[in-house]
Amino acid sequence: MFLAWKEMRYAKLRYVLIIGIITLITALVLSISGLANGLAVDNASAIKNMPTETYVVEADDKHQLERSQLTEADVEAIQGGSPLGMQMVEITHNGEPLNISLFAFDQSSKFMPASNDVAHLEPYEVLADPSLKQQGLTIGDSFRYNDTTWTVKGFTDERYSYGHTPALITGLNTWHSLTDTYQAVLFSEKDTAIDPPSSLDVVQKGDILSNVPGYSAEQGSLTMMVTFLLIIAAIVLATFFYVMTLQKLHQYGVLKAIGTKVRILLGALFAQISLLSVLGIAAGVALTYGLTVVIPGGVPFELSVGMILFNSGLILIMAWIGSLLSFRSIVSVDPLEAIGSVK
Amino acid sequence: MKNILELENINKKYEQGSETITVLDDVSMSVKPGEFGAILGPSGSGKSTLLSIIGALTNPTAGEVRLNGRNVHYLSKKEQTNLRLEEIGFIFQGANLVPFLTVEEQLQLIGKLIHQKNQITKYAEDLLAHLGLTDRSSHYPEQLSGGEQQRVAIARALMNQPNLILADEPTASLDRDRGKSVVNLLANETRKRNIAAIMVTHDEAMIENCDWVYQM
Repeated sequence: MFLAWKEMRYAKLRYVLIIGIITLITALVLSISGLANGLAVDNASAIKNMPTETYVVEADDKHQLERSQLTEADVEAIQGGSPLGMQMVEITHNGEPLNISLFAFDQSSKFMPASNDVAHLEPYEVLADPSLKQQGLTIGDSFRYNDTTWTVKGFTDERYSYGHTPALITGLNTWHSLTDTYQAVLFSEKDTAIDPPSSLDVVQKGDILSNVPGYSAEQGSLTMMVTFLLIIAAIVLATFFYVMTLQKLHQYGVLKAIGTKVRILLGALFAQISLLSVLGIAAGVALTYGLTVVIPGGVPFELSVGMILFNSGLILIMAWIGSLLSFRSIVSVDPLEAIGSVK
Repeated sequence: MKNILELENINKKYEQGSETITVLDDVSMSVKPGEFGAILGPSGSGKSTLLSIIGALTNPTAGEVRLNGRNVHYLSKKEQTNLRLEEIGFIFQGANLVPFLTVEEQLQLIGKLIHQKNQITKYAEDLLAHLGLTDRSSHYPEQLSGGEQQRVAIARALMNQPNLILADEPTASLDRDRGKSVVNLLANETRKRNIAAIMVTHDEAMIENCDWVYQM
């Protein structure tokens, strides 16, 4: 620690630059992760937040929820579970058309989204996704759909959205008057033993999620960006530390010659890298937090503490991996370097 | 009086392609406490190689080096590192101080390496005062003259209270007068502390204060 600290104090500019790089990489990783998560919430929060692990849907190559059609007989043939109705529709609110996904749950089941505003919905009453507040929707508003006037009774506590379309949630009593088909039967347990008719498939949450329109494409490309950024971080930091180590090889030789153990030299480098990374990551987190304040409200951006910690940890690990190259040169430098040469 | 250092029939050969180059051929010597000796020879005569063999940095092809009766080249790498840390003081060409440590910290580093943090600060202060470096103690090497740097290097070599000091061309980057004063300083410290010092040099003007000279 003595060597590590004294060296950083001496060559401040060099180390501030490295902290700057780590700061920017952290901010970029967190921004893209936040965007990926924001898009995921915007796109598929209904699937993510529904306490459903297993879905029974119509047999098909792609298990896309809104394409699945189950008859009343299908639903009755399945033991247990709770039916789900879902349609992507266009409503008219204040004379303006608005695309929403209309969900219908059994109100007495645990799948019914929680809301602080209202406990029970009468026919043609709905709960709304809180993002609809930004569209000017308030409690007590009414809108037209299917030649009927509907009323917004409250907002769900959590986000409910499907295919980048905010959800309106109603009870099955309303659903019966619209259509006699359902889209799925919901189970809260994983991998339950369900024996459905051959015209139906039993699938898990992940399968439904990846078939939400656009979900896989969005998440795939953003995850790739974050992965590349982390690899770039490792390479950039490896290069920086390697060049700095190469410049100091002679000095490492001298230190070894006067009896410094390799462990102490490696420890100094490890301490430097860890300290620089922690400072850089902390500054990066602060910068990202600053960015979230100036980002316009419409941009889907959501970051949780867990995600910040996870990504920060990954960047720290990448910095450590990047330092391995330098470790090798320190181990292999010959103390003989010190004798018979001026430098 | 017991010898601090004994060299017995040291040979060093390098294979270069099909040729074998003999750098050292049957070198023997013994060094007693209080002796300041010089290994004198032109460039390429193998004097630096001899010094690195004595300092356990290279193994000889044949022969034995005994420091305080211990055969240096029978030790493991780790034990050799400890030996250099605890019993040998090195002085290199052009001082080779750690660029990012102040004069005081150069000495503290040795104290930390040998785990004597507390007594060492006082010892370092005395050493710096003794070598006339007190008002330089918070300067970095780049702020010192060549002669001052070499004096710091001597202080660093004395920090671990070694039995043997090995100096590799300590005057190479100094002019004659400053070189001589560094050599005299080294000779005086050696005699006063009753330790041994070996200096490698190509400059005959530097050897007048030596107790013995080994001509390569």
